[in-house]
Amino acid sequence: MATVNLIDSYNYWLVALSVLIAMCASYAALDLAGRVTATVGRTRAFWLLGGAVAMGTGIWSMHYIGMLAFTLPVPVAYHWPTVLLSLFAAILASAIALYVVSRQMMNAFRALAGSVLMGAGIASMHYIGMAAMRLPAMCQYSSFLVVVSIVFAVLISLAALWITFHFRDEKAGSGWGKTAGAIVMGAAIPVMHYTGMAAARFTSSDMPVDLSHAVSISELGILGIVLVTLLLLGLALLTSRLDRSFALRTVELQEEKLKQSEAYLAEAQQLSHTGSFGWRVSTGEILWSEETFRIFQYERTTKPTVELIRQRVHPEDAALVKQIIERASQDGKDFDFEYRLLMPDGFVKHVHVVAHALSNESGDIEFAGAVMDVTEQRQARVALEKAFADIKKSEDRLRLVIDTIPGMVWSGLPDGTFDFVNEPWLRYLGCSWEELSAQGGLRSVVHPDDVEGSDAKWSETRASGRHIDHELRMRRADGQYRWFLTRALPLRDNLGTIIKWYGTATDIEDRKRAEMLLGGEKRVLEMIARGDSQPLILDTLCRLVEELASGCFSSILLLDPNTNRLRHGSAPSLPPEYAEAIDGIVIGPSVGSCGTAAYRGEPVSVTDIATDPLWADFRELALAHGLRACWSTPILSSAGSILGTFAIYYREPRSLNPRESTLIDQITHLASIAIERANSGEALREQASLLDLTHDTIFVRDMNNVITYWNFGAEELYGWKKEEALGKVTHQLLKTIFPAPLEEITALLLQSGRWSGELIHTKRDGTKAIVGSRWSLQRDEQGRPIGTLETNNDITERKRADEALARQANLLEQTHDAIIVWEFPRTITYWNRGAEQLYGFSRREAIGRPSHELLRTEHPIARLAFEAALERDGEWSGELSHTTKDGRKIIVESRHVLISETGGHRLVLETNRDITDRKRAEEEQKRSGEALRQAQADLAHFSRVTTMGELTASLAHEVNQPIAAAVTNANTCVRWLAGGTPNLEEAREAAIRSAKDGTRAAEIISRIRLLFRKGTTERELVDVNEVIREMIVLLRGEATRYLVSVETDLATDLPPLMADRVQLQQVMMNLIMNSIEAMKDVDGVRELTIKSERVDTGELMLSVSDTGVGLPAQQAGEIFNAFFTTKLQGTGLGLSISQSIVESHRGRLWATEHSPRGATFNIVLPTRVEEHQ
Amino acid sequence: MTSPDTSIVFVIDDDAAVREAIQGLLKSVGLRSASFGTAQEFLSSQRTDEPSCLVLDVRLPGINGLDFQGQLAEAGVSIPIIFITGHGDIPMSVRAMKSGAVEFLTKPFRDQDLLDAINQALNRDRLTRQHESELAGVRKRYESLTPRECEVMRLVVSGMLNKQIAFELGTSEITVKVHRGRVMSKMQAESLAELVRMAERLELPVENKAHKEY
Repeated sequence: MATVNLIDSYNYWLVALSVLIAMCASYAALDLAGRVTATVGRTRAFWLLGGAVAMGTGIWSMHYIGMLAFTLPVPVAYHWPTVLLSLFAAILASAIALYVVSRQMMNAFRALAGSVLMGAGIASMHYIGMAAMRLPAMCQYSSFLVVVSIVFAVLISLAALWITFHFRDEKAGSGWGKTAGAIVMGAAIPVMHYTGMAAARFTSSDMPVDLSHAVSISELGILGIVLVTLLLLGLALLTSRLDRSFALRTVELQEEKLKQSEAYLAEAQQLSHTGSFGWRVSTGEILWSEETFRIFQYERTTKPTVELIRQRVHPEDAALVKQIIERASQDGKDFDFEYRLLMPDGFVKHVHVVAHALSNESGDIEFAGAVMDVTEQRQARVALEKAFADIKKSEDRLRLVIDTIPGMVWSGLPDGTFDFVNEPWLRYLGCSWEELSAQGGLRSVVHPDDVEGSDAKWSETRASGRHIDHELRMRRADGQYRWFLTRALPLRDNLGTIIKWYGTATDIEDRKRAEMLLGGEKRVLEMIARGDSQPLILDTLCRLVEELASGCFSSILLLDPNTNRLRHGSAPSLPPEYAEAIDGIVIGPSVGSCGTAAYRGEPVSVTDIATDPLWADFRELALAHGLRACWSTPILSSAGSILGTFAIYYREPRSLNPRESTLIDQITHLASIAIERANSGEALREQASLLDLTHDTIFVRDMNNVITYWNFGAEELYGWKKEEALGKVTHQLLKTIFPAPLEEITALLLQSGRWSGELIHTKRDGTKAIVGSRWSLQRDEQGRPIGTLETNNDITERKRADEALARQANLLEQTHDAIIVWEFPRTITYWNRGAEQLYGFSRREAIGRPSHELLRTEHPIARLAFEAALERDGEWSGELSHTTKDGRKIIVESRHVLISETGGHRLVLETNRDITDRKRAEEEQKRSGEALRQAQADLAHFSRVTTMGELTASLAHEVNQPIAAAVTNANTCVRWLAGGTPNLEEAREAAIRSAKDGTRAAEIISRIRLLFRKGTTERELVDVNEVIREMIVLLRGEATRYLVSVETDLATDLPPLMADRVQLQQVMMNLIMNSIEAMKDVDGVRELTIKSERVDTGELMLSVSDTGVGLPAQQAGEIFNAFFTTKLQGTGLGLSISQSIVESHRGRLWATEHSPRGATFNIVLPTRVEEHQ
Repeated sequence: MTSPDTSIVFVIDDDAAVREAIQGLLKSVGLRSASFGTAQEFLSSQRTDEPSCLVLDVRLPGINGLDFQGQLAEAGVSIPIIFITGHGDIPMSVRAMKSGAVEFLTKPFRDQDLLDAINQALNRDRLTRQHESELAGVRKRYESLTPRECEVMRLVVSGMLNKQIAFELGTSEITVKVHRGRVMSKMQAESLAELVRMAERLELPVENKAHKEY
């Protein structure tokens, strides 16, 4: 079989065509890469797939066209499934390439990996394509060229990826760059192909060709492939272009919108005169918006700096701005302030700067803020202030008007304070506004009786918002009060809110007076009708006059027709001496005003007593009492006869005015009615019928003591009906027992008109009643006594209660305890004899004084806290310290009980018992106890010191040990420090050890010293285990010396014990020493066991056991006795003292046998030692 | 210190601070040490075979240091002992020294005194050990002899002549000569005198010369 190399040749037209197709495919790839990059999600996948198909097809078709350009002298067919496989490889390679270049970031690794993959894909495509060839020839490859072709494929891919990545950008890559890239890539792909082809050598073969599934490609086929490929590429490019232009449009639209909104912002800034700025502190970089430039009046082209801002700052604000900028750049805090700019043209601008600090990731401070030109607002504000000033001016003008009008005007604020009253009003008050304000405003001039009412009224007015009239009295400059009607009107704003009150005040004094007169008349008439006593009515009349005509005194004299003398009727305000002096004057033609008026039967008006001849006889008297004017008017009866006179006196000479004259007419009329009525005999009976209505016991008896009237109350009290009682002699009926002889009482009654006292009456049923009796003598018109009105109250019960109380009080007097009653705050109201005796103060000295001051009480707690406790608990008891009158300090056991009486009256009953002596005895006892304890402590100390003496050798050993260690360590330290290279670390260690040993030695010594200390120590909380361990440390040497091993079995849950530490140590020391002593001569085991545990009763149990000789059989009972000892040099005190120490801790110490040998000493201690014994 | 790397000092004291202090001191001069709180601990510890000495507190829990010294001797533990005590008295120190103690120091001791004593003790121990190891070599060589050779050696060191030995053993003089030569070479003895010294150290029973006259 001959093998011949087949001569191959190329059709160069087709080669050119293949290169062209490669370029087209490259261009499409570049274009599509841009699309893939620009999209996301499913669209991205679509573009990736589409691009891969287009590009893969392009490469593949370039290959096949290249294959067709390659002609062999044998027929060539292609196995089409393999061809399809190669197409798939091309598409896959393209997909990889597109995927790689469409990533956001490209790095060397990614580029390399991508290019290797892609190159591998292209090479695969090529060699798969080659494998698809079916021809009667052998195909051999030059391995070198195959490798070269693969290397080319990878390099081409790398170049392609690089180019594509850089030209993929939709805008930047458009135009020449992309085209150039496409040409490079397009040229490079065929290079690989043809290198690969060059690697193949075909030798003819007789082997039958397997032509199943094989097709041959004709020229027409080429045309088809080219057309399909170009169509596909064209389609891809077209779609890509359309999509891109659409995408670009979208981007443009967005940019346009952004520009637009920026323009709006600039516009808004311009309109609001607000510029914005950014300031990065670290770089000093400043950004300004357009409006900011405009505000600072700089060209847009200038670069904003802090310096530029400073140039514009008004010199007066320069310091402020500098300070704020500096501070902001340091602390990075927001700032907000206002300052002035001085423009080059001299114009002053006010700007308000607000900035907010932002911190970026690197920690730099950036401020974003706004600069507002507030010059216009400033101007507006100034204008507003001016307008306000103008308004104030016009208000002042209004005030002037208000002040000049004759009425009284005021204004007030919604909160009720008055801010203005007009001038006429101030004149009335006789003070300036400032003075008025200083003395408390209008409220201070209102009549004290009217203050409360007018306050309430004013509050009501303000609350309701409606005007309410109110009447009140206000003090005039001269001190006189006059009635005013006040009226208030609110001023409301647009919303209806009250912003001010305006009001007037009208003088209604005259009207008020008329009303009062009317009221007074009515009152007097009522009194007359009611049958009130004549003097009362006349007094009322006089007072009414004095009230209406202020500054006057009035008097009423009654004429005794039989003697023609004027008797005293009523003169409530005249000096009593004067009234007495003129009582009983005989009327005549020139007897003062009254005597003359009564004589003449007409009014007599004396304007000046000092000069009037009518007053010649009484001038001295009147002037002596300061009376200067007197007008007297006769009081006429209905029949025209003269009943008396009514007179008005003044302290200054003056004449009658018409108003007063009217007043006098009315009063005299009323007086005549009153006097006529009183004179009538019916008056008494009328009164009496009224008396029936009361429950008080009232009866009337004549001058012979015959009962003439007996009311219902008397029937009830005494049991006799009115019919039975009338006509009886009072004192016989009631068996009256008087407190004094009846004659004396009667004389007193006739003299003063009244009597009151306690009587004992016997009732109809024979029982006795104690009554409080008030007698009032009744006279007829002529003043003759006609009877007695007697009013009685049954006070039997009260009396009885009083007596019981007195008996109790008497009992309180008998006790030796001091009993004191005091009221809050501490005023003594009761002080018994016991208190007198205890404290030495008499009742008179004590009552009314504050108890704590009198007794110099020392409370255990602060007095106020004490009283608070008393109020809270209702009682208190305890010990107090008091000081007696003679200065002795005593201690009392005191009990306080709080008694609340009805009516909120609170009393404290304090009972004190002197316990000074008892206290003293207790103190004495305590002192002797202390002495005993001291003696015990001394003995314990002695014993301790003795024991310590025995221990000297062991203790010395204990101290010697740490000292030896310390010395050795110190020497070691020196050794480490010496030598060529001192080892400081080791030296330090040694020094530390040395110090530690020294400390330990000191601790042991201090423990020993504690045991040597004299006297008692305070009880403290002690850990018993600690005491045991300390003693073991001290006595370890002793134990070792006698080859005694020490075992401990200490419970961990022991509560601390309130105990004397040193004493407990002493007990432990004694017991341990005894144990060692007991063991030192025995053979065999020498074991000392110390146990601590908590027993069920809650007590602590300690035990010290040994394996020594045991307790002395004969004298087991005596071991705790003092001076009992089995040791040669023992004091015999150890156990005795130990026992007394344990007992002073309320514990027990006893000894038992220890099994199998030795003794055990047991201690039980209560965990709580309640009291220091 | 001649060979600080191999020797070790044992310290027994019930006081941890004292133990620590002594160990610190020993460390400062490069001596290895191990310490024990009680005699029992020391006895039950694993000790390697190297030059050592014992610093022993006289007062120990449960046992007196001097008694412990006796116990050790009884148990065949030969270790040089330096006693330290908080309060030594003369009888106590005499007793200790008599029982072979290297030194008896009273706390607090001068560091140099302790170190000198330790040094001395270690040297003593080292010598003892050297002797012992030599003896062991001789014994080992002796054990390599056959029973007949042993007999010959015993008789040789007794000072018998070959002829006598042959007679004694009922064999020829030639044979004895051969045996004797083997003994000399196996025992690595240069001379008869050396062989005799070896026999002495091995404490071989020496044949009564009177027997010869027999």
